[in-house]
Amino acid sequence: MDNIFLWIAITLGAMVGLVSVVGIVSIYLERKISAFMQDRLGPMEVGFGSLVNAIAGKEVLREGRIGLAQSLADGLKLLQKEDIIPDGADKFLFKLAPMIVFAGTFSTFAALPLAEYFIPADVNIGLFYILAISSFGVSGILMAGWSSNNKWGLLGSLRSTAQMVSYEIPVGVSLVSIVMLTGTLSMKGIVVAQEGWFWNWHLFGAVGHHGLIGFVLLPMMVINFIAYFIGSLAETNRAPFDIPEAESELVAGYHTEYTGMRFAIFFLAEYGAIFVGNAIAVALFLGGWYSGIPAIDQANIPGIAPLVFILKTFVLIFVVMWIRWTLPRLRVDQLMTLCWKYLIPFTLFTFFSVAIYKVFIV
Amino acid sequence: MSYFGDIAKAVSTISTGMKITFAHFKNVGKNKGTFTTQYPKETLTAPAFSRQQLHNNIDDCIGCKKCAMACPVDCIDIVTVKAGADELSDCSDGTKRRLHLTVYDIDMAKCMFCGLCTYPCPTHCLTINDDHNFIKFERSELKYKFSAYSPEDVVRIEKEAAEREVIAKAEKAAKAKAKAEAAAKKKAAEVAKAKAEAEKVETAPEPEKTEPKAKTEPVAKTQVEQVVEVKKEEVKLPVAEAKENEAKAEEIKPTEDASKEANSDNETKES
Ligand code: SF4
Ligand code: SF4
Repeated sequence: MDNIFLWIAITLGAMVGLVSVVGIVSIYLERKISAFMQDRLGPMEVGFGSLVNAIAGKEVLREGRIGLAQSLADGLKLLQKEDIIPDGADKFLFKLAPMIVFAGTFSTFAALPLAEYFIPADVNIGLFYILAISSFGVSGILMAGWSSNNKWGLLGSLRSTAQMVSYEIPVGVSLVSIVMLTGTLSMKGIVVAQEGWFWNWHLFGAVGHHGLIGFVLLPMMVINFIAYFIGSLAETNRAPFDIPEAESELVAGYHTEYTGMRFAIFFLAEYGAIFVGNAIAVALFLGGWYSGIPAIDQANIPGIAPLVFILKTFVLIFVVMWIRWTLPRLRVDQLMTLCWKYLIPFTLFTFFSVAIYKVFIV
Repeated sequence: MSYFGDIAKAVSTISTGMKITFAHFKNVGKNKGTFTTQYPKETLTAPAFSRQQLHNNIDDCIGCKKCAMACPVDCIDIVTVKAGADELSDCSDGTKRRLHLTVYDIDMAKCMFCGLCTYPCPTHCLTINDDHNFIKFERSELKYKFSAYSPEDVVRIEKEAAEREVIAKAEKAAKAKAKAEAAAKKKAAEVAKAKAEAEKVETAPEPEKTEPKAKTEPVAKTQVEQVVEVKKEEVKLPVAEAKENEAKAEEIKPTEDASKEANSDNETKES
């Protein structure tokens, strides 16, 4: 029994660490990337040099040149901020909402296959679990908007809910195609199915496993991947689907009334959700922890597998940010049009194609 | 087919946009890639003729207060004290300076950088330059003091000015006295003359046409002599009286001094 508790403690600690680190790194990247795309430099002042100097009280390291510690400094700042709960708020729900949103994101990390030997919980319904839990956060968002007793908050959370409910469908359907192909819901099983050269990845139709006939799958999988990617953008409230927190219309959407650490938790959860969304894309379409070249995977370099996985995820996160700083926000009707008229028909088409392939060809 | 046409259009427009942002992303740090400056470490020079900060070359300021009157928001505060003769050097352009500037403050927190104050300045000592680096933590720090005098200097200058004022007053009083005396003497002389004439009229009423002229001449001479004497007295008097006054002023203490200073201030302001 002792071992189990130890295992739980270690896993929890590691996961909390991972979520925070991922959040902090993503926020830093977001700020830098947005700055670069807008011909700015972004955070430049707060580096680890200045942190060390501040702690030591004298010049130990050269001042930070690229603002590496900016997110840490912001976190410290948010920690010191006053925690304001509006008078008219539903206090219990108001306090509960950020926890639920964070828990929704945090729990999904449990089933992420960072490496063959590093899956906190390799359940046989891993994918199903992730989809279910990540949608759980939306109730937190609705709670936040409702309990704030603020019209912007409420509007933002309503939009968020409408968006998430709609986009669950294309996301789910596009993932079901993969499940059909591999015949398993276990995240580990899905990744292992893509072992070997990069053309074994599902994005490229898993040609290696299916032979030349696999090329039939390639366009299907590309469509699936794009549909999933767009859907995950919408589910994580990222631009161009950020109407739940559209600054120019809704101030800040569902977290308008939140301050200090509660706000920071929303923020962390948002970036955690982006990481999870892209991690699923990596695991399901981009070969998970396999680098795509068998020699590297078989070289047994310690830690290479999680590194490859996280690297791939961050490449996708870069694309997410790139899209955010390029495209303007969609209107609500355009959002629904994109989902119901474009994504759902396409994913249904690929779903049936893959089904036919699975039944008649393989 | 507009359904697939729309998709194609979306793909092409999105890729165009993404290409543009990526080009900007790539160019960061290169020449013309970044348009911001790291402010405290790098600064841009302000455009030519930009109005940023007022500077007064106090050695050239004659304290005419034309700038303070031109300012629409009253942010220039000037207090002047009359200077003694040759106490101040001339301006660089040769204009005489007659006033000590004990206070010359410009409140840059109120200033709206219109530059109107710089135009009327007769000696061109008040200028507005392009130095925009004057960040302060307190609003009161934005009050720029241009006066060259320390508080002790100001006290000394005001005291000296008050003393000079006293001397000047004494001089005035002496002059008035001398004038009065002269006038009295003149009157006495006239009276004497009238008497003499009357006597003459009594003694010799007949030779009227020639004699009065001859007799008036000596009277006129005596008048001139008297004036000269009075002037000599004037020169002597002030010193003595000033000494007396000084002693008095020291006895009577600050209350009177202050009132005198206030008087002198008022006078300078009126001037
Ligand atoms: S620049 Fe304008 S506002 Fe400022 S001190 Fe001169 S006249 Fe006044
Ligand atoms: S106008 Fe020029 S000379 Fe006159 S008080 Fe102002 S700064 Fe001095």
